[in-house]
Amino acid sequence: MISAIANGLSNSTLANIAQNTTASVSIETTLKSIGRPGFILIDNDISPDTKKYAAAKEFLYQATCLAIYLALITPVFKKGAFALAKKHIFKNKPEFAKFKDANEYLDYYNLASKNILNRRATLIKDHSRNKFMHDGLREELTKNKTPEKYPLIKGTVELGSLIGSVLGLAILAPQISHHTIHPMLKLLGMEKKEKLQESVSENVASHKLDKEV
Amino acid sequence: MSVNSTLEKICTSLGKNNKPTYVVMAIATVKGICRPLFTMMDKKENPDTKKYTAIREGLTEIIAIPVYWASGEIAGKLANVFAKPKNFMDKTLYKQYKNNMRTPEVVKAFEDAKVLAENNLPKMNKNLMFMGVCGAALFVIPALCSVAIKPIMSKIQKNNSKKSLDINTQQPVERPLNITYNPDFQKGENYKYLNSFYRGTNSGMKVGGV
Repeated sequence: MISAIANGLSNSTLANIAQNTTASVSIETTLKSIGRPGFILIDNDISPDTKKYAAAKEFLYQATCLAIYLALITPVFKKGAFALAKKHIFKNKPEFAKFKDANEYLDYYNLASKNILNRRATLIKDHSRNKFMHDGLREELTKNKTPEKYPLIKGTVELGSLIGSVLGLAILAPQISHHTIHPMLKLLGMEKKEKLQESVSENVASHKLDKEV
Repeated sequence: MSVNSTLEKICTSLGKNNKPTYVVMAIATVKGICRPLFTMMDKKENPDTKKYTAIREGLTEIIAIPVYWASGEIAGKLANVFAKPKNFMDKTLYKQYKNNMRTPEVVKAFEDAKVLAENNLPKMNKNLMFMGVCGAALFVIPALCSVAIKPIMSKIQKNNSKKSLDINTQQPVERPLNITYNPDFQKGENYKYLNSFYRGTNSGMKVGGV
């Protein structure tokens, strides 16, 4: 049992995801979007209608965050950081000249993280036959047991993703979701119900007051 | 040190070792500053509600930052439990190794497993850290917030209400709802008389007066 867990934990793909800002934030947000509404729904202390409303609101918030993150932040900041570093900040660093863009570098990095046999097997497949034919990158991947991973480029891409994640999830997404969640809840017919409940409770309260007066 | 060389150092170190805790802690820090700020800037909400919500949001993130860090680090440390040669070699061979049977096959299997365990340790560390962070986001932080925030908030509210009572208000005076008129009996020398009518001066013209 423990050896099976140990083998699972040694998975290179999972380790790459864990060290990849975009992938880890996306997975975490997906888990939150499923887990948090789930916990709200299994809470027995809340009334069924409130549970449904709160769970839907939480799900929509997390889903909006994820959508904004994947659609806007990831491509802009990841690619932007690489381009900015290549053209301005680290223009004298030769490693940046070896890669066309962030995607090509990340493709290379993923292959470099695999063991040499898997790397060779991947590179002889049809879709990878013409990849990395420049700057000695293919030789590095096929002949070197531990190929150069260019940590400066990886760090630049990760820093870009990190800044994008912070701006996206802490500032932009809450603002956008604040304006989109209520119309979405209305479309689902939940906002109306809640408002109806509020008005009913208000009516009951005013009726009681009238009686007391 | 120039800005470029500092940035180069940061990027290189991030490229070599990007922990999953970095990004979640950064997000929580910025959220902890910005969310209360946005709440306080809302002009539609009343000041007390704004203050309450802002403190609550700030507290949530203050709790989240160390919990993310601790969950990641503690889960990462578990890698040492799993990264042992016995988890990477055949069970029968490991039993033989444990029983001091040092045949070349057993020794080679053990050495290979040892190298594998050492190589896999960093991967396991990162994977477990990531799992720790996910666990913190899903279970630990919501649970801790629900336990810790309510008493802190009620304490803050209690303090605020005490202060405002001392400065601005007095103890409320209870008045009876049904006020009944009690005729005022005054004691004279020989008899009691009812003082229930207006007793004005007995001079001048009066119409229908007493």
